[in-house]
Amino acid sequence: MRRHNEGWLTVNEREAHLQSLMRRGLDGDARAWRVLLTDLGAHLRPFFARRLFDGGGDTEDLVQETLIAIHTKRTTWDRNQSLSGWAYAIARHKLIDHLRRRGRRPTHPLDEASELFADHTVEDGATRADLSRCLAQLPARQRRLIEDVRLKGLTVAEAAANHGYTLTAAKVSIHRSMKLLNARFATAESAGTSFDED
Amino acid sequence: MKTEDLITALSVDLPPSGNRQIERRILLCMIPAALVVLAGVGLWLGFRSDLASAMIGLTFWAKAAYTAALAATGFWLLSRLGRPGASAWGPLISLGLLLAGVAGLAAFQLMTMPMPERMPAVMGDSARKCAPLILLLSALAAPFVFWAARAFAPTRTGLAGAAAGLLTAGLASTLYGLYCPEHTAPFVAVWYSLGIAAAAGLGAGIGRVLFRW
Repeated sequence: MRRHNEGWLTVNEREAHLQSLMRRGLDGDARAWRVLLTDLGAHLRPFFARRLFDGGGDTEDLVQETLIAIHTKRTTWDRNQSLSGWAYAIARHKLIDHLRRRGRRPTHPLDEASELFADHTVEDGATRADLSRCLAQLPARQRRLIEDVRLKGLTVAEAAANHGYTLTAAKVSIHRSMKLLNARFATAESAGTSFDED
Repeated sequence: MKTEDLITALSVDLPPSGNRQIERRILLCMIPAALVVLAGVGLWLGFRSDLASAMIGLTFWAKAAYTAALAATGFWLLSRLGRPGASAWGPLISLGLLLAGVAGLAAFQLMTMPMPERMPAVMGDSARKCAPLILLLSALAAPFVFWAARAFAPTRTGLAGAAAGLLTAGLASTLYGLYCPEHTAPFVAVWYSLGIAAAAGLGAGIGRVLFRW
């Protein structure tokens, strides 16, 4: 009496269902194996998404890595063992491994610009006020482009699309804005410094 | 690559596999490992001259039973640790009981001995070389065991390495008994255990590196 909607299965029923798929997969049934991997993938996705705090960019990578591990290590499952327990242990291992690796290399958060605009301290507010006073020197359309690229961290292409520029026109506009701001505000020492255009 | 495509690709490569692959793999690797150690003992150390008469006695087999039991515990522990999500408490507890039992037996033998005999019973004639030789013989068998265990999926790589080391050294020291004429429980409890523990410790370090997946 199996109900067809997965969501209605009890834990025991799901375990039995997964185990029978696993057994058939181990016997070489490719269709059962595909169903099992898809099922497990659907469980892994929210599992990882909840535990990664980086907006989910790595979630799918981790799902794939875990599915590969489940595939290559499938013979380590014992037929008397709980399948969910086995799969959970693999997922946990992959998650810890991932976090450890990520902890070792420095991350470059993309939202530095939004941190700049967040009024954390009085000084931050003052900086922001200064900045907007400087940018006020620019024509409105040019200013919004500069804000998107230099402060919010969008790519030139994204910002150009937002404001109806072509890519080349956007680059030219940014160049002109920076030149203008530089000429207006740069001190004697930094006047000669060039700024990179991308 | 999309996850869906990945799943499709994985489902294509699916040779049928039997049950209890982990145990099979360990048993298969133990055959060449045992042969290499046996060759090492026979060709390099030489069998003990009184081997035939010793094999009639109880102490020879008691010694072999202890080291073989350690190897069996290592086998059990490794097969548990190689499976994600499986509990390792069973083998760990029996390892503790085994060590405690032999230590108790050795202590009892020492207590019931007259004082001047105690030190010679512990030191035997080969205390200094016993542990190093067990370690060397284990090194002969280790490549087979560790290579086999690389296919497993231990989430505790260090402990799994120690289990592989325990299995290897248990096997090696059982065959070392064909050369070693020591016959007191205190000697075996101290020096055999020391050599096997050293091998397990080294195995933990190797496992940490080798068993990553």
